[in-house]
Amino acid sequence: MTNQAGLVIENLSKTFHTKHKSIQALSGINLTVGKGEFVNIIGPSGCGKSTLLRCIAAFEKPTEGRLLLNGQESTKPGIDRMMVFQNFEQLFPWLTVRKNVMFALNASTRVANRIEQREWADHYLNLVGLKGFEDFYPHQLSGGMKQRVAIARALSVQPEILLMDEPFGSLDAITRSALQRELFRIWQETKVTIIFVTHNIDESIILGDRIVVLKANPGRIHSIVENHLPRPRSKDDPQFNQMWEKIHSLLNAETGIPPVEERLTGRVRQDRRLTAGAYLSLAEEVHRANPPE
Amino acid sequence: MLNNRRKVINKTLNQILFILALMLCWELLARTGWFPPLLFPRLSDVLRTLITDIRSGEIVGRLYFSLYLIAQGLALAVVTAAVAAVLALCSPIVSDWVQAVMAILHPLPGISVLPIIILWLGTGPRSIVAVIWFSSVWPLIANLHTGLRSVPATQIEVGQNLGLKGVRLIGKVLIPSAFPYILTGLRVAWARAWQASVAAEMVFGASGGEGGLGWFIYKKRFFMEIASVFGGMFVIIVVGLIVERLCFEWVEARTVRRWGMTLE
Ligand SMILES: Nc1ncnc2c1ncn2[C@@H]1O[C@H](COP(=O)(O)OP(=O)(O)O)[C@@H](O)[C@H]1O
Ligand SMILES: [Mg+2]
Repeated sequence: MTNQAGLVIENLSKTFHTKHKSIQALSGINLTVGKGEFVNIIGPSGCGKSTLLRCIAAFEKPTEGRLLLNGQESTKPGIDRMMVFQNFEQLFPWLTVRKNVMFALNASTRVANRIEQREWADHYLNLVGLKGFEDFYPHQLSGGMKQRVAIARALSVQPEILLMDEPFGSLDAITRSALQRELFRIWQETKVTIIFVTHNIDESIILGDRIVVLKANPGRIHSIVENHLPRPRSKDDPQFNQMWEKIHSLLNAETGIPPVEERLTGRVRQDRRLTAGAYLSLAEEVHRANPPE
Repeated sequence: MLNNRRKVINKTLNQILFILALMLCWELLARTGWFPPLLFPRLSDVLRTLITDIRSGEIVGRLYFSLYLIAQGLALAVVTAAVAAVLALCSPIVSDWVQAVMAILHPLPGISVLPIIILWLGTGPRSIVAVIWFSSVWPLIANLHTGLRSVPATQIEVGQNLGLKGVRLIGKVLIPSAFPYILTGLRVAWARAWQASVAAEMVFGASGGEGGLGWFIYKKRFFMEIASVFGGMFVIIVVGLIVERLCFEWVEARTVRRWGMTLE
């Protein structure tokens, strides 16, 4: 079982110790992600989605349990697991778009020769649709373009797993759905494994093969929903709506932040679709204002 | 864009005209004969002596000497600041220490340590370098320290994800990311060093009649060659302006402004 290809997460728990209290962010996570799979992780704000991804990337050390990549325990960050963050600051502002990608190839010593680095960089920038922007500096790009560069940079070192922590979370709706389509195409072309964190139900249904629903306090897996809807997936498809209702009810049952629920019950009755989006963003708001003890 | 540029040119022109007017007032006022020329020479006399002093090579030699000492003092300060800031980065305890020392010593004007420095190091160029070092090291540490701390955690993690750590992480991610602060630090440090070198040389030259611009001014005053005193001050102003306007602005335009990393 442990020699399995892909990622195996065994009984992973993570507790943060701060000065005044301990926060159990994750508890007893067991998850296997096969090679080339596209897995979505969804859950309310503060349920430990980022922590899970950061444990996989080895930016955080699990308190308990272990992570196996192709049977090998991985405890240090490495280019086999590349993270794409939500935050636009992840690009190096002092480097052009092309140099940002070349930086990755150079730093990881994936490609040593400058000319080859340049060719690789241009190849991956082309893949994410940024041909013609190679010499721009990050501050000259829109948010969506910045995220494309980050994806190209992460892919350029040919990781086994692409870890994406709400990468489209700061984008407007139109850019977001354009990038979702692109990401799907890129996944098909590169066959990279993708673990994609979101708190947007639509996004989780449109993208992946499986949807891992987390619940909070402490963060654990509530259920895993197989998603075999035919592609391309459309929000007008009745099956999409069924799936949506399912994820929505799983989330609703387990958000565990009652004040928001109360504030929203009125609106839930009016329009369930809209409200759940609002629900999650409100939950986020509330979470930010008063983080759980 | 073009409009903006015209505004800048207009502003500069306006300022130059005003300075020229002031200089004209100076000349006319000195020509009235109301003041003793020994104490308040004509501007034209100042400029004439300045040209003579430059031709004779005296000013150039003094300037070279000043810049040479400043280069030494600044280089030492940069090394000290880099070591302190990197240690502070590695350990929160050292960071507290650095902040404490900075809070205590930063407000102390560099020149005020001169008497002690003279006792310790004598009245040679070493003492002047020490004063320059002391004047410029605090703003450098302060900016480097803040700069390194303001590097976004995400950028550090991107570096770690790519396998960077230790010196390579510092050199490839932290230093460039902190560059706007480093540049500000260097700017302030240069201004402080320049002022400190002049001030320190007013107290003594260096050794054996060698000295920089400060010493030039001091000596000329001693012989009551007031036009040369003003000439020396002109050179100090012009060099300060050249370094600030040409060197630093040039670097800034090619780095932080091109990268969209300006601090304000
Ligand atoms: N570095 C940290 N130190 C202390 N607590 C943390 C840290 N990172 C995350 N947490 C806590 O762990 C919980 C899960 O956080 P996170 O993984 O960011 O949630 P999500 O990404 O699902 O919103 C939260 O309660 C958060 O406050
Ligand atoms: Mg998160």
